[in-house]
Amino acid sequence: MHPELIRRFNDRVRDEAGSRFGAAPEELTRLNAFENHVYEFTNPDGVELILRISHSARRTHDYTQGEIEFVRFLAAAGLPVAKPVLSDGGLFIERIGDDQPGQYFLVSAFERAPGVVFDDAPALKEIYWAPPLFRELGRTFARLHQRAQAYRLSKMEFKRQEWHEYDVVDIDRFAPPEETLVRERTAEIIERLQRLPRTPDGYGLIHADLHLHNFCFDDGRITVFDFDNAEYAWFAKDIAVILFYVGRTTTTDKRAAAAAAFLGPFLDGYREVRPLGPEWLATFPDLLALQRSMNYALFHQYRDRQVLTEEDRDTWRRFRRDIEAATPVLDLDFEKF
Amino acid sequence: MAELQPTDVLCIPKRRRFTRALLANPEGGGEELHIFFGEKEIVFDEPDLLPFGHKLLEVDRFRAQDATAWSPAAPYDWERVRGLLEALMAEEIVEPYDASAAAAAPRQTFPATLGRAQPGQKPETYSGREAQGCPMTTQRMLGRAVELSNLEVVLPVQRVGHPAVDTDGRQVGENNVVDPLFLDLPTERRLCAYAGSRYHNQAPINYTALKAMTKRWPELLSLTAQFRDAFFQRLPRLGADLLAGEVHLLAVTCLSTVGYVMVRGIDPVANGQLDVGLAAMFRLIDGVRICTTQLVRDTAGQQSCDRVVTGKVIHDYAEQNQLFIDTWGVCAGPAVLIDEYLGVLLDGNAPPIDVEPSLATRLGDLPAALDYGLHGLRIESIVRAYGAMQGQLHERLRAAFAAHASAPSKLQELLEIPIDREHYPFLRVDHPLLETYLMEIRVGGWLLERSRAGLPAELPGALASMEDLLRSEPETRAGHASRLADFLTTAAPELAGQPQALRAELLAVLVQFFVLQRNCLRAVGVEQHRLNQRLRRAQGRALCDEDLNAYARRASPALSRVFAEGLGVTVDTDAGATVLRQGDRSVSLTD
Repeated sequence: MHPELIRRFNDRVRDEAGSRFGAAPEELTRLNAFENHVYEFTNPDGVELILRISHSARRTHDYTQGEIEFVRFLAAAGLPVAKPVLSDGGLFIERIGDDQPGQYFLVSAFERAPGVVFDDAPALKEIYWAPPLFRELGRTFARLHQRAQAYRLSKMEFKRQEWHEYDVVDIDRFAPPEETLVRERTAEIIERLQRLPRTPDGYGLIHADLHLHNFCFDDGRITVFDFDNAEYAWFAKDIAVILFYVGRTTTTDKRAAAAAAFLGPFLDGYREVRPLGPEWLATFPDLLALQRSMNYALFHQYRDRQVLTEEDRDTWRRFRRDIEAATPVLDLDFEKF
Repeated sequence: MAELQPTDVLCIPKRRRFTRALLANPEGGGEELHIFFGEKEIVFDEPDLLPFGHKLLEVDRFRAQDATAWSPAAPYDWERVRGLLEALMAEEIVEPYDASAAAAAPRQTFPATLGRAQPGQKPETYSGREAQGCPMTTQRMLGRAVELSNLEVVLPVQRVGHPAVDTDGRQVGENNVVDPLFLDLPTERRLCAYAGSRYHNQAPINYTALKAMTKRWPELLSLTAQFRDAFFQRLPRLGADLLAGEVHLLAVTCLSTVGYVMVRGIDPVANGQLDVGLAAMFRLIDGVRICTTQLVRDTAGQQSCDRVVTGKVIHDYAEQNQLFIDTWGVCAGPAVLIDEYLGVLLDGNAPPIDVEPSLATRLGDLPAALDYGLHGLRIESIVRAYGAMQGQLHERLRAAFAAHASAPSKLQELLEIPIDREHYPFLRVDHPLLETYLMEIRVGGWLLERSRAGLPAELPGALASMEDLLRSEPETRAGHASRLADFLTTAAPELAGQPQALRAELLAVLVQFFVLQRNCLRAVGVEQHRLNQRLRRAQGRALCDEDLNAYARRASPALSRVFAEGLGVTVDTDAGATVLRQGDRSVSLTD
């Protein structure tokens, strides 16, 4: 989590944030989240909501408006996304003043996606994490991308960043200075990606963080949430992100197989809705490698080296090694899919 | 009030009610800050006080002397600050802070019903399904039985759909349905927490309606865009900039389409079966109509139909003129949704989806629905202008009696009844009476002429301009004056004792008024006839003066009744003739 968001957050902010959306302090239940303070509560209408508190040091009001506008645009077409809700004051984003001049907390609330996150329900995952669900995920991604193609910003101030503007893509900022090879390898990936075409059918506003913790599963239905990282990028990048995390649900030796088992049905479902040609599959190695570098940068940005376990250290050593050796994230021939 | 001390702690308990506008100083030289607080407006026109004004918008609670530091330059003088703060306290904008009161403030609740419904009130509306009920309803509401085929003469076309119940079981007009038809359905009402003029108003928001609206929001934006496109296809915009008059036409026509499905001749919708999307579209755009109704009339001496407007102009106008606030509630729409809606309706923004069924499908016959709105609006414009002209004649005659009458009379007694809100609840009072009437004629004239462009080129008998309502041949006038003078010699012999100047003025007004009435009845008859054709509805009986007198929002005395009672005669006017009778004597005036 962003240090400013931790340092300045307190109970007063939490309680005020809740009250703006009709929640009393005792009704707020804290949830685990990586980048924001997140709570769950049921509003006076009986609707289960997720309250998200961020800070202007991390996201500006306008930038968050861009997220809200995009999610509402997706929801308007009936896509399965967790919809933002209005506060009692009639706002999608409430500001709560910080002690620092010009700084503020940003509070938004979203309908709680029905169902569960798979990691919270291993038994369900055991049953449902299978090709029919992968196909459904493919269809869902494709519908999101199809709809995103039609999205037009209402105001330039709300524009979300391009993929390369995301701070963790700038690995120079976060990787230790001595890790020159990590920087070089990442720069090479970015350079190759920068050369990819940015056509309307291949490039648009994407979720960008749609991994297994950002959708709920409910009796065969998927609902996507947390568009906090939405950015302009290739639609293929969205797929690469989930593929990256699917691979990481298992051990190194089984990653390629797990990803392949996922990707086939996923693409079948995706292509029921919109095409995805081999030229985009050919970008997967670089997109996956970018994701690995970004995760590595995130690790340096947020992790406290003093409290790392040996297992953590080992993980990140391997990340570095693989980045430096340009080892493929997944050893698959993507263009065959 | 004790003198304010520097250590006093003050607060602005309803700070979120503030809205601001930076406007050019009308006397030239820089900007001035206008702060709106409900109906109050504070103007900071001294440049060095602008920072004080801006800071006032931001603070909830402060020590009085701290306000001397609200200047970016040298601190303000305490005496000056005290004067400002005491003035704000006198206006009840700033208050002494009372911690115990702030902590103990209870959450405000509102009853589920307003207690306005008539006992045993059943759902009742204007509907082709129950056409026989229309005369009974209008008799109860307006004191005159008017059949469905002439409904739009007595009821503004935009209000026809008002009492109807949609498939959600809600009345289209919600709180604003008139008492005799209001159902007072259980409704969740909440204190308004939206920043701006509505903030913590004593009237609540209709939370039930808000929930229904937000649930269908994309659908509503789509229906709105579809209507906007269809309307401007029918009646292309005059230029690149949108004009207030055009927006008013757009709004009234849109509102009318909801009435259209209820009162058309073929397959009218039953009460309770009205499409919820159409009903919600009505509720949204009615706010725009409320705005444009006032906006086009707000500048004395000229109508403002030609004023350029945008979504922002409309929103700001509503905010600064208290138009979000009404007797039974404040507008429930959050600013963010209002802006989104106005962006689609007025600024040409695309809706997020294209909803099915389309607007055209829901209306059945979109061109006919547009015709209904345009003809209905022309009828209302004519009837309102007629009322204003009638009011002008009334004032002319009242002045004549005041100046010349040599003896009291029943007619003068009737003419002296004030024209005010007490007697005419729908009278607009933002200008002096005669300007109000002039404004009505100007606005009605603009709307009449502009709406004509949306109707077929061939429309025999259609009124070309509002001035034509007063038109007649000089010879006809002279003949009518002479015959009326003869008739009144015996019918009202007491007039003979009044000065010649008064008698001449009375005759002139009588002649002019009856010309006006007949012209109005002919003009309205033409529009109503085609309206019925387009609705494939049976034609109604011929219109007469009492139909004009029954107009739901009449804001001037019914002169034909004044003359009848004041002169002791009966007066009957239809499109063809005016007949005055007393016993077996009569006079008939034709054109």
